[in-house]
Amino acid sequence: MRLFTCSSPTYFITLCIAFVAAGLGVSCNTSGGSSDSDSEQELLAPDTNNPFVPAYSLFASKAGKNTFIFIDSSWTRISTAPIPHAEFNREFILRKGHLYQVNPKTDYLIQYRIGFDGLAALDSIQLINDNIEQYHWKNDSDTLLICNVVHAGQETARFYEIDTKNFSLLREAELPLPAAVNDFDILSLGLLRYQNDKLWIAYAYSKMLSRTAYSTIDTMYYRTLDFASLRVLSEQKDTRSANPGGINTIQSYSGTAENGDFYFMSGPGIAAGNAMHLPTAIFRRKHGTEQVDQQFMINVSEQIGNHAYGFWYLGDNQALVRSEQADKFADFSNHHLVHQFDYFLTDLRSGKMAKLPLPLDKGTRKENLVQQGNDLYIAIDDADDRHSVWRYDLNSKKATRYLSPKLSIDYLLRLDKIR
Amino acid sequence: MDKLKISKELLERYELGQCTEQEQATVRLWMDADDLALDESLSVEDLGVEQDNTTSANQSDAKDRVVKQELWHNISAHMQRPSSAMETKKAWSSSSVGYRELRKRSFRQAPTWLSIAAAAAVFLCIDWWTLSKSNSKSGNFNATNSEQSLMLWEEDGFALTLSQNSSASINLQSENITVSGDVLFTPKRDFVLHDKYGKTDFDFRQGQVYYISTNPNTSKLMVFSKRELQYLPPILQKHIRKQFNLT
Repeated sequence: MRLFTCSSPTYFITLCIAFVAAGLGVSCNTSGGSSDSDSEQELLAPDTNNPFVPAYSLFASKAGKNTFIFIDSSWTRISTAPIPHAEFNREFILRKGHLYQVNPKTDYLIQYRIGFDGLAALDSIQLINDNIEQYHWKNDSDTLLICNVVHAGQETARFYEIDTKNFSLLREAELPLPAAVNDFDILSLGLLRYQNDKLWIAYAYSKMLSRTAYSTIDTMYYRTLDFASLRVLSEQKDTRSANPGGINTIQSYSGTAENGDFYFMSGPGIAAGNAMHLPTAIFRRKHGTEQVDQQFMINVSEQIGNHAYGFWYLGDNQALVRSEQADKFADFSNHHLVHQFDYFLTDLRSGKMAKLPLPLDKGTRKENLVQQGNDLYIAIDDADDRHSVWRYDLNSKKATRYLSPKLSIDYLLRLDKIR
Repeated sequence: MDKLKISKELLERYELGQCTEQEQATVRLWMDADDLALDESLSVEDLGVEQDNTTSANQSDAKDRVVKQELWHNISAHMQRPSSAMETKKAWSSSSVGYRELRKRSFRQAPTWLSIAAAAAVFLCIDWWTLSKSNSKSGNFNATNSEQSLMLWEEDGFALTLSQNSSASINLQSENITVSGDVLFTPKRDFVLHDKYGKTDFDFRQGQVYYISTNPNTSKLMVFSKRELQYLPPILQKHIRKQFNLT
């Protein structure tokens, strides 16, 4: 929009060329350059006449209405597809061309197949409540493990084991987790992992302080269960932070390194646990052990002076951390509206964090990272109301605005790899 | 009962005034099927899931009665409003579900009527002070809920659900709204309202459901559409959804 105000003929000609190129469906790909190279941006219009196999998907929101934007494998063509029903939201699991989401009206977990035209419902399984808090693919197979919190009366944790190939429920059981600790009676499930016939779960307890204020207990709880019987094998309490992990159908908070070590981040910030006196930190559970390593902790808050929420493992002991800026928001009520989010490349060996040259993002929680080799593709909603996929090259350390849909958008809530 | 496909979600939407005419008729038929069991002792928490075909008939009937009891508590909220004569006609002329249901009942259900009358009398005694403050000025809507977990009001222009110890004042003519505690607000047409400071406009849209509360830090109103709740912290989201039985 800034270009329209320029009086220079050169800018006018540039603008005309840009519009012609956009009309021809030319890609906005660039091969490098600085992070704020506006002149390289072109808007990519949806192409609905020439079907392609969607390789990536953006989940966009405009005035509260959600839409899928599909992208082809070369990042040069996009199309839009409607959501299956009005209640369809950004909390879903996507894997191998299929998508899984609970219909909040019916509490059925629906399996969809993703096609160019949109989502086709294939099958369903009844759950109790609609709030999947954790999912995990058992041994990276087609067996999906999910757990949620049942709200009726005292909160209890429910576990489901699902064969997604036949979409059948293999097992449903209550997880042996205490309903409350003292007067902290809100249970949150932060992490779920399967390893060596054992189920490991991290969880937290919160309590309401007033109608809209709450706090989370200053202890992170971990339990290891026997996978077959769900019997408790061990328990660990960790007071170094609060609120381990988070709801991973909305955003990632953990990752497994090539050697099997498991890393995760806590979320005591105002938009998650709201135990602000404790630091956001990265923790590790070494491969083959049941205990979280008490000798390892990367204090994110100490380094960047802020809390953070998203964590993605990138390979070679590097991770991406998405952090807020406390001086830019008033409280939780405008936290999602403010352009404040930075992205930090984090070295898990040294603990050092380096800010990426990207515009400030908005939206408190997002699953908005796709990695292809050394390229990170990150969907960002910037302060100039531009909604783009940026590409960051881990080798050259350059960031480029890579793809901007020619659509009216408030938030790019997700960027997923479909296949 | 099962043929009518009454679900908890349908009843919640009915309470929130979000049902189609066909759905409203279905719920009314179901409401007419049995007496309202006011002395029912079952817990409402038993209704965590929709009716299940595998549930025994007795359990199903018991659940039906509990749902009706819960509905009746909300309906009884309307019953209290005639204490303010000025607003009585207006309230009943809108889609005041409780009144319509009760009017259909025959005298053979005298025990039920007596129970209803007794319950209404009790509520009137308990809440006389707060309720008598309702609708004291023309065009001005005032409501307070100091007793029940939730209370529903149906007006021509909107529906309002108040949580316990909450109150709301809405004037569509002067376009003002004040809220103490937290409420669910469902406009029946588009309009703009201002907070008591007159500085903030809230653009309400027909058919949307809004959560309104007061910011504890600034004392200003916070308004979130049901869709915007997804942006709030998960623990707060869960609390609001649980409190107002939102899906």
